[in-house]
Amino acid sequence: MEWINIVVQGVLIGGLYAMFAAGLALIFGVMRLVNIAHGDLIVLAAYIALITSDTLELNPLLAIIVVVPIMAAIGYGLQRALLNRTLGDDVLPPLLVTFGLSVIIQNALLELFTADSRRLRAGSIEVASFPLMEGVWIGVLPLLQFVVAVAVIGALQLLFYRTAFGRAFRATSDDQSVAQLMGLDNRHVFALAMALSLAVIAVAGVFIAVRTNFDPAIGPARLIFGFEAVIIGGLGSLWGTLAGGIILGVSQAIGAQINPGWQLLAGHLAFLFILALRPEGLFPKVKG
Amino acid sequence: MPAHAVVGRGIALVPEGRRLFSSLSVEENLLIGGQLGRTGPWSLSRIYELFPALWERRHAPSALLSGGEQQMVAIGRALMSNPKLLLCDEISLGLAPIVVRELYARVPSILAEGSSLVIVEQDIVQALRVANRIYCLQEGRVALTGSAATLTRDAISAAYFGA
Repeated sequence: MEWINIVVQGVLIGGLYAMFAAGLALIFGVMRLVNIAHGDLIVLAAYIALITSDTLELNPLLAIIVVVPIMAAIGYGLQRALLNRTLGDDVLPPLLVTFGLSVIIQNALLELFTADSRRLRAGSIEVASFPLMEGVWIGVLPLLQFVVAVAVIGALQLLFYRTAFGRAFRATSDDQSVAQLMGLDNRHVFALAMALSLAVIAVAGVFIAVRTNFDPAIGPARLIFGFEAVIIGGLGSLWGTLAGGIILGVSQAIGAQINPGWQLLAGHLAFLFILALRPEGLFPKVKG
Repeated sequence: MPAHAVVGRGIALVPEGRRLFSSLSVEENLLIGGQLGRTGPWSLSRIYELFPALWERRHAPSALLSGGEQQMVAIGRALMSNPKLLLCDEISLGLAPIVVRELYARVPSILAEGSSLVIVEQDIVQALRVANRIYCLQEGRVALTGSAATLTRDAISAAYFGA
Protein backbone atom coordinates (compact mmCIF):
# COMPACT_ATOMS: atom_id res chain seq x y z
CA MET A 1 0.00 0.00 0.00
CA GLU A 2 2.86 2.32 0.84
CA TRP A 3 4.36 1.79 -2.62
CA ILE A 4 1.06 2.48 -4.39
CA ASN A 5 0.93 5.72 -2.47
CA ILE A 6 4.45 6.64 -3.58
CA VAL A 7 3.73 5.91 -7.22
CA VAL A 8 0.50 7.93 -7.11
CA GLN A 9 2.25 10.93 -5.57
CA GLY A 10 5.02 10.59 -8.18
CA VAL A 11 2.49 10.56 -11.01
CA LEU A 12 0.83 13.70 -9.65
CA ILE A 13 4.12 15.64 -9.43
CA GLY A 14 4.93 14.34 -12.92
CA GLY A 15 2.19 16.55 -14.31
CA LEU A 16 4.15 19.59 -13.19
CA TYR A 17 7.34 18.32 -14.87
CA ALA A 18 5.31 17.65 -18.00
CA MET A 19 4.28 21.31 -18.10
CA PHE A 20 7.95 22.40 -17.83
CA ALA A 21 8.77 19.95 -20.60
CA ALA A 22 5.90 20.88 -22.91
CA GLY A 23 7.02 24.52 -22.94
CA LEU A 24 10.59 23.52 -23.78
CA ALA A 25 9.61 20.95 -26.41
CA LEU A 26 7.24 23.38 -28.08
CA ILE A 27 9.83 26.03 -28.87
CA PHE A 28 12.52 23.50 -29.68
CA GLY A 29 10.10 21.84 -32.09
CA VAL A 30 9.05 25.03 -33.83
CA MET A 31 12.35 26.93 -34.03
CA ARG A 32 15.17 24.61 -32.81
CA LEU A 33 15.83 26.97 -29.92
CA VAL A 34 17.06 25.52 -26.65
CA ASN A 35 15.93 27.96 -24.00
CA ILE A 36 18.41 27.87 -21.11
CA ALA A 37 16.38 30.59 -19.35
CA HIS A 38 13.27 28.36 -19.28
CA GLY A 39 13.61 27.52 -15.57
CA ASP A 40 14.20 31.13 -14.58
CA LEU A 41 11.16 32.19 -16.58
CA ILE A 42 9.15 29.67 -14.52
CA VAL A 43 10.45 31.35 -11.36
CA LEU A 44 9.66 34.77 -12.86
CA ALA A 45 6.08 33.56 -13.35
CA ALA A 46 5.98 32.50 -9.69
CA TYR A 47 7.06 35.99 -8.59
CA ILE A 48 4.55 37.65 -10.92
CA ALA A 49 1.91 35.42 -9.29
CA LEU A 50 3.19 36.59 -5.88
CA ILE A 51 2.82 40.25 -6.83
CA THR A 52 -0.61 39.85 -8.43
CA SER A 53 -2.07 37.81 -5.61
CA ASP A 54 -0.67 40.29 -3.05
CA THR A 55 -1.78 43.47 -4.77
CA LEU A 56 -5.12 42.23 -6.08
CA GLU A 57 -5.71 40.09 -2.98
CA LEU A 58 -6.55 37.19 -5.25
CA ASN A 59 -6.31 33.52 -4.43
CA PRO A 60 -3.01 32.50 -6.12
CA LEU A 61 -4.83 29.85 -8.15
CA LEU A 62 -7.05 32.57 -9.61
CA ALA A 63 -3.96 34.69 -10.25
CA ILE A 64 -3.24 32.25 -13.11
CA ILE A 65 -5.78 34.24 -15.13
CA VAL A 66 -3.56 37.33 -14.78
CA VAL A 67 -0.14 35.66 -14.92
CA VAL A 68 -0.76 33.70 -18.14
CA PRO A 69 -1.41 36.72 -20.40
CA ILE A 70 1.47 38.65 -18.78
CA MET A 71 3.91 35.81 -19.42
CA ALA A 72 2.58 35.33 -22.97
CA ALA A 73 3.17 39.03 -23.67
CA ILE A 74 6.69 38.78 -22.22
CA GLY A 75 7.32 35.76 -24.46
CA TYR A 76 6.11 37.51 -27.60
CA GLY A 77 8.19 40.61 -26.87
CA LEU A 78 11.29 38.63 -25.90
CA GLN A 79 11.18 36.65 -29.12
CA ARG A 80 10.58 39.65 -31.40
CA ALA A 81 13.08 41.96 -29.69
CA LEU A 82 15.86 39.56 -28.81
CA LEU A 83 15.68 35.86 -29.62
CA ASN A 84 14.70 36.15 -33.31
CA ARG A 85 17.99 37.95 -33.88
CA THR A 86 19.94 34.98 -32.53
CA LEU A 87 18.34 32.35 -34.76
CA GLY A 88 20.24 31.12 -37.78
CA ASP A 89 22.28 28.20 -39.00
CA ASP A 90 24.48 28.36 -35.90
CA VAL A 91 22.94 26.84 -32.74
CA LEU A 92 25.39 28.57 -30.40
CA PRO A 93 24.06 32.19 -30.34
CA PRO A 94 20.59 31.30 -28.96
CA LEU A 95 22.22 29.08 -26.30
CA LEU A 96 24.56 31.86 -25.20
CA VAL A 97 21.89 34.55 -25.25
CA THR A 98 19.36 32.50 -23.26
CA PHE A 99 22.13 31.55 -20.82
CA GLY A 100 22.82 35.25 -20.36
CA LEU A 101 19.12 35.88 -19.96
CA SER A 102 19.01 33.21 -17.24
CA VAL A 103 21.75 35.03 -15.28
CA ILE A 104 20.02 38.38 -15.74
CA ILE A 105 16.59 37.10 -14.60
CA GLN A 106 18.06 35.36 -11.54
CA ASN A 107 19.97 38.46 -10.43
CA ALA A 108 17.13 40.85 -11.16
CA LEU A 109 14.82 38.68 -9.00
CA LEU A 110 17.49 38.56 -6.29
CA GLU A 111 17.77 42.35 -6.35
CA LEU A 112 14.01 42.89 -6.27
CA PHE A 113 12.88 40.14 -3.91
CA THR A 114 16.06 39.19 -1.96
CA ALA A 115 17.17 35.57 -1.54
CA ASP A 116 14.40 34.84 1.01
CA SER A 117 12.22 31.83 0.35
CA ARG A 118 8.69 32.78 -0.61
CA ARG A 119 5.46 30.86 -0.73
CA LEU A 120 1.98 31.59 -2.02
CA ARG A 121 -0.92 30.85 0.32
CA ALA A 122 -3.90 29.33 -1.40
CA GLY A 123 -5.92 28.68 1.74
CA SER A 124 -7.49 25.43 2.87
CA ILE A 125 -7.17 23.72 -0.54
CA GLU A 126 -3.43 23.36 0.22
CA VAL A 127 -4.03 20.70 2.85
CA ALA A 128 -7.34 19.24 1.64
CA SER A 129 -7.17 15.57 0.68
CA PHE A 130 -9.36 12.52 0.26
CA PRO A 131 -8.67 8.78 0.53
CA LEU A 132 -8.34 6.88 -2.74
CA MET A 133 -8.09 3.57 -0.91
CA GLU A 134 -6.84 2.47 2.43
CA GLY A 135 -3.46 4.07 3.07
CA VAL A 136 -3.51 6.12 -0.15
CA TRP A 137 -4.55 9.72 0.24
CA ILE A 138 -4.78 12.12 -2.65
CA GLY A 139 -4.12 15.80 -2.02
CA VAL A 140 -6.67 18.02 -3.74
CA LEU A 141 -3.99 20.50 -4.84
CA PRO A 142 -1.63 17.91 -6.41
CA LEU A 143 -4.63 16.33 -8.13
CA LEU A 144 -5.80 19.70 -9.44
CA GLN A 145 -2.28 20.38 -10.68
CA PHE A 146 -2.16 17.05 -12.49
CA VAL A 147 -5.59 17.52 -14.06
CA VAL A 148 -4.61 21.02 -15.21
CA ALA A 149 -1.35 19.62 -16.67
CA VAL A 150 -3.24 16.95 -18.64
CA ALA A 151 -5.73 19.58 -19.82
CA VAL A 152 -2.92 21.95 -20.88
CA ILE A 153 -1.15 19.21 -22.83
CA GLY A 154 -4.42 18.03 -24.40
CA ALA A 155 -5.20 21.61 -25.41
CA LEU A 156 -1.71 22.03 -26.93
CA GLN A 157 -2.17 18.78 -28.83
CA LEU A 158 -5.49 19.98 -30.27
CA LEU A 159 -4.01 23.36 -31.10
CA PHE A 160 -1.06 21.78 -32.91
CA TYR A 161 -2.92 19.15 -34.89
CA ARG A 162 -6.42 20.54 -35.39
CA THR A 163 -6.10 24.29 -35.99
CA ALA A 164 -4.70 26.64 -38.64
CA PHE A 165 -2.51 28.09 -35.90
CA GLY A 166 -0.89 24.71 -35.26
CA ARG A 167 -0.57 24.02 -38.98
CA ALA A 168 1.45 27.23 -39.31
CA PHE A 169 3.70 26.10 -36.42
CA ARG A 170 4.30 22.71 -37.97
CA ALA A 171 4.87 24.08 -41.47
CA THR A 172 7.39 26.61 -40.17
CA SER A 173 9.11 23.85 -38.21
CA ASP A 174 9.35 21.67 -41.35
CA ASP A 175 10.71 24.27 -43.75
CA GLN A 176 11.11 27.89 -42.72
CA SER A 177 11.88 29.29 -46.15
CA VAL A 178 8.99 27.57 -47.94
CA ALA A 179 6.66 28.61 -45.10
CA GLN A 180 7.55 32.21 -45.92
CA LEU A 181 6.60 31.58 -49.55
CA MET A 182 3.15 30.63 -48.24
CA GLY A 183 2.89 34.06 -46.61
CA LEU A 184 3.83 33.00 -43.07
CA ASP A 185 6.03 35.57 -41.36
CA ASN A 186 8.39 33.31 -39.43
CA ARG A 187 9.37 36.06 -36.94
CA HIS A 188 5.70 36.34 -35.95
CA VAL A 189 5.19 32.56 -35.88
CA PHE A 190 8.24 32.14 -33.61
CA ALA A 191 7.03 34.91 -31.30
CA LEU A 192 3.61 33.23 -31.03
CA ALA A 193 5.31 29.93 -30.18
CA MET A 194 7.35 31.61 -27.44
CA ALA A 195 4.21 33.32 -26.12
CA LEU A 196 2.49 29.93 -25.96
CA SER A 197 5.49 28.34 -24.26
CA LEU A 198 5.59 31.02 -21.56
CA ALA A 199 1.80 30.81 -21.12
CA VAL A 200 2.24 27.11 -20.32
CA ILE A 201 5.05 27.69 -17.82
CA ALA A 202 3.05 30.52 -16.23
CA VAL A 203 0.57 27.85 -15.14
CA ALA A 204 3.44 25.67 -13.90
CA GLY A 205 5.02 28.62 -12.09
CA VAL A 206 1.86 29.36 -10.13
CA PHE A 207 1.52 25.72 -9.04
CA ILE A 208 5.18 25.61 -7.93
CA ALA A 209 4.67 28.79 -5.94
CA VAL A 210 1.67 27.33 -4.14
CA ARG A 211 3.13 23.88 -3.50
CA THR A 212 6.70 24.63 -2.48
CA ASN A 213 8.95 27.39 -1.26
CA PHE A 214 10.71 29.24 -4.01
CA ASP A 215 13.57 31.70 -4.29
CA PRO A 216 15.37 33.32 -7.24
CA ALA A 217 17.90 30.47 -7.54
CA ILE A 218 15.60 27.47 -8.13
CA GLY A 219 15.21 28.02 -11.89
CA PRO A 220 18.09 25.92 -13.28
CA ALA A 221 16.91 22.78 -11.44
CA ARG A 222 13.42 23.19 -13.01
CA LEU A 223 15.12 23.54 -16.40
CA ILE A 224 16.86 20.21 -15.85
CA PHE A 225 13.61 18.47 -14.86
CA GLY A 226 12.05 19.87 -18.02
CA PHE A 227 14.95 18.69 -20.18
CA GLU A 228 14.92 15.23 -18.63
CA ALA A 229 11.18 14.84 -19.15
CA VAL A 230 11.51 15.93 -22.80
CA ILE A 231 14.33 13.49 -23.48
CA ILE A 232 12.63 10.59 -21.68
CA GLY A 233 9.41 11.23 -23.59
CA GLY A 234 11.01 11.91 -26.95
CA LEU A 235 10.14 14.75 -29.26
CA GLY A 236 7.43 12.91 -31.17
CA SER A 237 4.34 14.00 -29.33
CA LEU A 238 3.22 16.23 -26.52
CA TRP A 239 1.75 13.20 -24.75
CA GLY A 240 5.33 11.87 -24.73
CA THR A 241 6.32 14.81 -22.54
CA LEU A 242 3.53 13.86 -20.13
CA ALA A 243 4.87 10.29 -20.01
CA GLY A 244 8.38 11.68 -19.50
CA GLY A 245 7.22 13.92 -16.67
CA ILE A 246 5.41 11.05 -14.96
CA ILE A 247 8.38 8.69 -15.24
CA LEU A 248 10.64 11.36 -13.76
CA GLY A 249 8.16 12.11 -10.97
CA VAL A 250 7.67 8.45 -10.05
CA SER A 251 11.43 7.77 -10.10
CA GLN A 252 12.04 10.70 -7.78
CA ALA A 253 9.28 9.56 -5.42
CA ILE A 254 10.67 6.03 -5.30
CA GLY A 255 14.21 7.34 -4.73
CA ALA A 256 13.04 9.59 -1.92
CA GLN A 257 11.30 6.65 -0.27
CA ILE A 258 14.45 4.54 -0.28
CA ASN A 259 16.53 7.38 1.09
CA PRO A 260 15.43 11.03 1.34
CA GLY A 261 18.76 12.11 -0.17
CA TRP A 262 18.20 10.01 -3.28
CA GLN A 263 15.17 11.86 -4.67
CA LEU A 264 17.01 13.86 -7.33
CA LEU A 265 19.58 11.13 -7.93
CA ALA A 266 16.86 8.59 -8.73
CA GLY A 267 15.31 10.97 -11.28
CA HIS A 268 18.68 11.53 -12.96
CA LEU A 269 19.37 7.78 -12.98
CA ALA A 270 16.03 7.03 -14.66
CA PHE A 271 16.89 9.69 -17.22
CA LEU A 272 20.36 8.23 -17.87
CA PHE A 273 18.92 4.73 -18.07
CA ILE A 274 16.44 5.73 -20.79
CA LEU A 275 19.05 7.84 -22.57
CA ALA A 276 21.32 4.79 -22.70
CA LEU A 277 18.61 2.34 -23.82
CA ARG A 278 16.50 4.56 -26.07
CA PRO A 279 18.38 7.76 -26.88
CA GLU A 280 15.51 8.90 -29.12
CA GLY A 281 13.09 8.77 -26.15
CA LEU A 282 9.97 6.68 -25.65
CA PHE A 283 7.90 8.48 -28.30
CA PRO A 284 10.36 9.58 -30.97
CA LYS A 285 9.46 11.80 -33.90
CA VAL A 286 8.56 9.70 -36.92
CA LYS A 287 10.73 10.68 -39.84
CA GLY A 288 9.06 10.74 -43.23
CA MET B 1 9.88 43.31 -49.69
CA PRO B 2 10.17 40.50 -47.13
CA ALA B 3 9.78 36.98 -48.56
CA HIS B 4 6.47 36.33 -46.79
CA ALA B 5 4.84 39.36 -48.46
CA VAL B 6 5.43 38.12 -52.02
CA VAL B 7 2.56 35.66 -52.16
CA GLY B 8 0.15 38.39 -51.06
CA ARG B 9 1.00 40.27 -54.25
CA GLY B 10 -0.17 37.32 -56.33
CA ILE B 11 3.08 35.49 -57.06
CA ALA B 12 3.34 31.84 -56.03
CA LEU B 13 6.21 29.40 -56.46
CA VAL B 14 6.36 25.66 -57.06
CA PRO B 15 9.88 25.15 -55.75
CA GLU B 16 12.47 22.87 -57.30
CA GLY B 17 12.37 19.49 -55.58
CA ARG B 18 8.77 20.18 -54.39
CA ARG B 19 9.71 21.04 -50.78
CA LEU B 20 6.43 19.87 -49.23
CA PHE B 21 5.87 20.23 -45.49
CA SER B 22 6.75 16.65 -44.64
CA SER B 23 4.98 16.40 -41.29
CA LEU B 24 1.73 17.77 -42.73
CA SER B 25 -0.88 15.74 -44.59
CA VAL B 26 -1.71 16.40 -48.23
CA GLU B 27 -4.74 18.47 -47.32
CA GLU B 28 -2.84 20.42 -44.66
CA ASN B 29 -0.18 21.31 -47.24
CA LEU B 30 -2.91 22.62 -49.53
CA LEU B 31 -4.55 24.58 -46.69
CA ILE B 32 -1.23 26.22 -45.79
CA GLY B 33 -0.98 27.33 -49.42
CA GLY B 34 -4.36 29.02 -49.12
CA GLN B 35 -3.89 30.44 -45.64
CA LEU B 36 -3.79 34.08 -46.76
CA GLY B 37 -7.35 33.72 -48.06
CA ARG B 38 -6.83 35.43 -51.42
CA THR B 39 -10.03 35.00 -53.38
CA GLY B 40 -10.08 33.46 -56.83
CA PRO B 41 -11.04 30.35 -58.77
CA TRP B 42 -8.99 27.85 -56.74
CA SER B 43 -10.24 26.07 -53.64
CA LEU B 44 -9.63 22.68 -52.05
CA SER B 45 -12.37 21.07 -54.13
CA ARG B 46 -11.09 22.59 -57.37
CA ILE B 47 -7.58 21.27 -56.63
CA TYR B 48 -9.01 17.78 -56.08
CA GLU B 49 -10.86 18.12 -59.42
CA LEU B 50 -7.61 19.08 -61.11
CA PHE B 51 -5.69 16.21 -59.49
CA PRO B 52 -8.20 13.47 -58.58
CA ALA B 53 -5.36 11.26 -57.29
CA LEU B 54 -4.92 13.64 -54.37
CA TRP B 55 -8.50 13.26 -53.15
CA GLU B 56 -7.93 9.64 -52.15
CA ARG B 57 -4.68 10.49 -50.45
CA ARG B 58 -5.77 13.73 -48.82
CA HIS B 59 -5.16 12.51 -45.25
CA ALA B 60 -1.86 10.75 -46.04
CA PRO B 61 1.37 12.26 -44.74
CA SER B 62 2.85 14.10 -47.70
CA ALA B 63 6.19 12.37 -47.18
CA LEU B 64 4.63 9.01 -48.11
CA LEU B 65 3.45 10.14 -51.55
CA SER B 66 5.09 9.19 -54.85
CA GLY B 67 7.17 11.85 -56.55
CA GLY B 68 4.41 12.61 -59.05
CA GLU B 69 1.77 12.97 -56.32
CA GLN B 70 4.11 15.22 -54.37
CA GLN B 71 4.51 17.42 -57.41
CA MET B 72 0.71 17.62 -57.69
CA VAL B 73 0.55 18.74 -54.06
CA ALA B 74 3.28 21.33 -54.68
CA ILE B 75 1.38 22.74 -57.66
CA GLY B 76 -1.94 22.59 -55.79
CA ARG B 77 -0.42 24.28 -52.74
CA ALA B 78 0.82 27.15 -54.91
CA LEU B 79 -2.53 27.43 -56.72
CA MET B 80 -4.41 27.64 -53.39
CA SER B 81 -3.08 31.20 -53.01
CA ASN B 82 -4.92 32.08 -56.24
CA PRO B 83 -1.84 33.60 -57.83
CA LYS B 84 -1.81 35.95 -60.79
CA LEU B 85 1.59 34.54 -61.65
CA LEU B 86 2.68 30.97 -60.92
CA LEU B 87 6.40 30.21 -61.05
CA CYS B 88 7.25 26.54 -61.60
CA ASP B 89 10.80 25.35 -61.12
CA GLU B 90 11.71 22.05 -62.81
CA ILE B 91 8.37 20.26 -62.72
CA SER B 92 9.94 17.20 -64.37
CA LEU B 93 12.81 16.87 -61.89
CA GLY B 94 13.29 13.25 -60.86
CA LEU B 95 9.95 12.07 -62.27
CA ALA B 96 9.19 9.33 -64.78
CA PRO B 97 8.35 10.58 -68.30
CA ILE B 98 4.78 9.27 -68.10
CA VAL B 99 4.21 11.18 -64.85
CA VAL B 100 5.70 14.32 -66.36
CA ARG B 101 3.29 14.02 -69.32
CA GLU B 102 0.34 13.67 -66.95
CA LEU B 103 1.36 16.74 -65.00
CA TYR B 104 1.80 18.84 -68.13
CA ALA B 105 -1.59 17.69 -69.37
CA ARG B 106 -3.07 19.69 -66.45
CA VAL B 107 -1.36 22.95 -67.43
CA PRO B 108 -4.07 24.10 -69.90
CA SER B 109 -6.71 23.83 -67.12
CA ILE B 110 -4.56 26.04 -64.89
CA LEU B 111 -4.08 28.61 -67.67
CA ALA B 112 -7.83 28.56 -68.37
CA GLU B 113 -8.46 29.95 -64.87
CA GLY B 114 -6.48 33.06 -65.70
CA SER B 115 -3.10 32.55 -64.01
CA SER B 116 0.06 33.19 -65.99
CA LEU B 117 2.80 30.58 -65.74
CA VAL B 118 6.55 30.84 -65.92
CA ILE B 119 8.01 27.36 -66.20
CA VAL B 120 11.70 26.60 -65.94
CA GLU B 121 12.10 23.22 -67.62
CA GLN B 122 14.77 20.95 -69.06
CA ASP B 123 12.24 18.66 -70.70
CA ILE B 124 11.97 20.61 -73.97
CA VAL B 125 9.22 18.47 -75.49
CA GLN B 126 6.86 19.16 -72.58
CA ALA B 127 7.79 22.83 -72.42
CA LEU B 128 7.14 23.30 -76.15
CA ARG B 129 3.73 21.63 -75.81
CA VAL B 130 2.32 24.05 -73.24
CA ALA B 131 4.25 27.29 -73.74
CA ASN B 132 3.26 30.36 -75.73
CA ARG B 133 6.69 31.86 -75.60
CA ILE B 134 10.07 30.21 -75.09
CA TYR B 135 13.30 31.71 -73.82
CA CYS B 136 16.50 29.69 -73.93
CA LEU B 137 18.99 30.81 -71.33
CA GLN B 138 22.66 30.11 -71.89
CA GLU B 139 24.93 31.05 -69.00
CA GLY B 140 22.50 33.68 -67.80
CA ARG B 141 21.85 35.26 -71.20
CA VAL B 142 18.88 34.77 -73.49
CA ALA B 143 20.34 32.77 -76.36
CA LEU B 144 17.10 32.29 -78.27
CA THR B 145 13.55 33.51 -77.97
CA GLY B 146 10.38 33.09 -79.94
CA SER B 147 6.84 31.80 -79.85
CA ALA B 148 6.60 28.09 -79.23
CA ALA B 149 4.98 27.56 -82.63
CA THR B 150 7.94 29.00 -84.52
CA LEU B 151 10.75 27.31 -82.60
CA THR B 152 11.83 23.80 -83.54
CA ARG B 153 13.73 21.38 -81.35
CA ASP B 154 16.67 21.70 -83.73
CA ALA B 155 16.75 25.47 -83.29
CA ILE B 156 16.71 25.03 -79.50
CA SER B 157 19.49 22.47 -79.43
CA ALA B 158 21.48 24.70 -81.77
CA ALA B 159 21.05 27.57 -79.29
CA TYR B 160 22.43 25.41 -76.51
CA PHE B 161 25.03 23.24 -78.14
CA GLY B 162 25.83 25.03 -81.41
CA ALA B 163 24.69 23.85 -84.84
